[in-house]
Amino acid sequence: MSAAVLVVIVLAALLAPLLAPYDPSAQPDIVALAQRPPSGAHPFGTDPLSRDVLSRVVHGGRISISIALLAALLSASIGTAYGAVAAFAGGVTDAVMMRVLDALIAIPRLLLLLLVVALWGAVSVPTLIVIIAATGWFTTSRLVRARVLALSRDDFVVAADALGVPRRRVLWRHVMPNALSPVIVAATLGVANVIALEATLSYLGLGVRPPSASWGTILQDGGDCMAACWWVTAFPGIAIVAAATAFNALGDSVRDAFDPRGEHVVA
Amino acid sequence: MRRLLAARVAQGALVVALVAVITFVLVHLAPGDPIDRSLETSLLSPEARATLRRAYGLDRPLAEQFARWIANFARGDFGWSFSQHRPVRSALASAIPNTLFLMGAAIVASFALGVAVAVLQAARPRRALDRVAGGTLLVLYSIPTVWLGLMLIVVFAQTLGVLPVSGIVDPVLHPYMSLWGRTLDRLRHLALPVATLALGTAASVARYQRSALLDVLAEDFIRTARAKGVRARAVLLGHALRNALAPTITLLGLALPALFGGAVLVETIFAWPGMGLLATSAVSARDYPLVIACAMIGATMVVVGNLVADLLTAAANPRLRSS
Repeated sequence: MSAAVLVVIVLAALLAPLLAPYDPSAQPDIVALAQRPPSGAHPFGTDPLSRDVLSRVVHGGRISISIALLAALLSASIGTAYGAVAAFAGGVTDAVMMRVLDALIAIPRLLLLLLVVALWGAVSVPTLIVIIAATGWFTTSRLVRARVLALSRDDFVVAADALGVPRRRVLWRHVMPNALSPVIVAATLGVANVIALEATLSYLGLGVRPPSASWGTILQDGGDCMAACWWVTAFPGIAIVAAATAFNALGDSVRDAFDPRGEHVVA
Repeated sequence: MRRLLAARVAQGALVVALVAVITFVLVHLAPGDPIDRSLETSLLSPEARATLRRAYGLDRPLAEQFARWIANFARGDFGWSFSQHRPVRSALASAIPNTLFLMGAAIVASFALGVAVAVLQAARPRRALDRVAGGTLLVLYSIPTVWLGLMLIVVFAQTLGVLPVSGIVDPVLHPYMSLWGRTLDRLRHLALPVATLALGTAASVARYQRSALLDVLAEDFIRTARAKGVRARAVLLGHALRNALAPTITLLGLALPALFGGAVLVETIFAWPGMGLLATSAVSARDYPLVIACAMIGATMVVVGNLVADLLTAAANPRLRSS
């Protein structure tokens, strides 16, 4: 079920120009076609600027999904690096790195994002990806550190050490590959999280800038005319919920696959 | 227990201090300052701006500004809010109770709802009710707070017209209501914001609580209880739930930052006059003292909440008290 939804969403994003019935930014008739409710010609209705909502949702998926995938990948990488370095370094370095992490986790993420985005002014999509990733790696690095520490005491690592395998090789060949399962789970769940986050930031006017259509900017277009055109908000929202649910379900299955006994040690 | 408490308090204080440094540095790294940003100063000459900067101490080195700010903060003086034209303390004093009220109601609602659903699921695992509830929870868990709030407004406020769209009380009639009427008015205004904030959290509580319950139900002492004839309901509620609650309390502690972020959004959507609304307006006005104070208070609330969660976990599980 979730796999089917995922395939549909990703295909729709890839084939957006072929699937969308209209140009997503065309404003054909601001008088006669603005805020039309859903109909045969416009299944999702039109927005206050007379743009076709279905075309915008299909095209918006491209930006929203790309941001989510890239940001989740980037934050997983940062989190892995930070957690691994802390675990390998140990001692004072580890303690300092972990206290800094405690502080970063204690600042509500949305407040941190508001702070960064608003203070730096308008952000481009690549900057947005970096900023979202930069505020999303904290839990991953905790998981990786715990996993690396546990693995370092595991018999096969001790054996490799005893056999005289160089330290660097032990870390890269034996410890790290085994520490990656929580990262993959966290990254998959992270995609769902970032889809919602992009929508939130764009809705607040701090994310993707119009005229680019992302699911979040369409929400924002609809936010101004909620009473008169609920469909502009409702349909991109349904797309967001479908995509986020599918990635969350995928994350759950991946976790169960890595952890068949259901001990949920990974996330 | 006392040693655990002391260690946690010390750790929490360190975290709050680090948050202070991080926010201060972030805010000052950003280009521009409140004198450039403020609307009413756009007509000022460069000389007048320089005078204002000197008056507010914005021309001093960063380390000195930080030292002065920390010293004042420790004395309870949070500075002057440029955008609100009043002390940060008075702006916060009116906003914090509203946010605590909203978050408190959301925590109680999500915990009660989440645990109740999980118990119903765990009573008959992998049966129809469990599966339907599991799917529903996954969807609820994936709904962005913003969209949930907007849709609840469309359905309950605009289409059905049964609940108010925004605010904390009726702006006109509230003072003239009876005590009972005022309570009802507050509850009616609370309903949509709390539902928006609590539904997602309730879903994650329920998902977590269900798997914790199933883990405990597989343990030996449950089989013993069943074998000696304890009724199913008593086993589930008295034996299993009691033991499965501790991790959920910890989860709620860990969910506090997200809940606070959610409160920021909910306050923006429903014009709820709390810290979130204050923080978003302070950020766009680049009101340093107010922004930093909001981040500090938010982080402090999170740290204190985690401390309370740790203590409750220890209370629920005697084995943790000695360590």
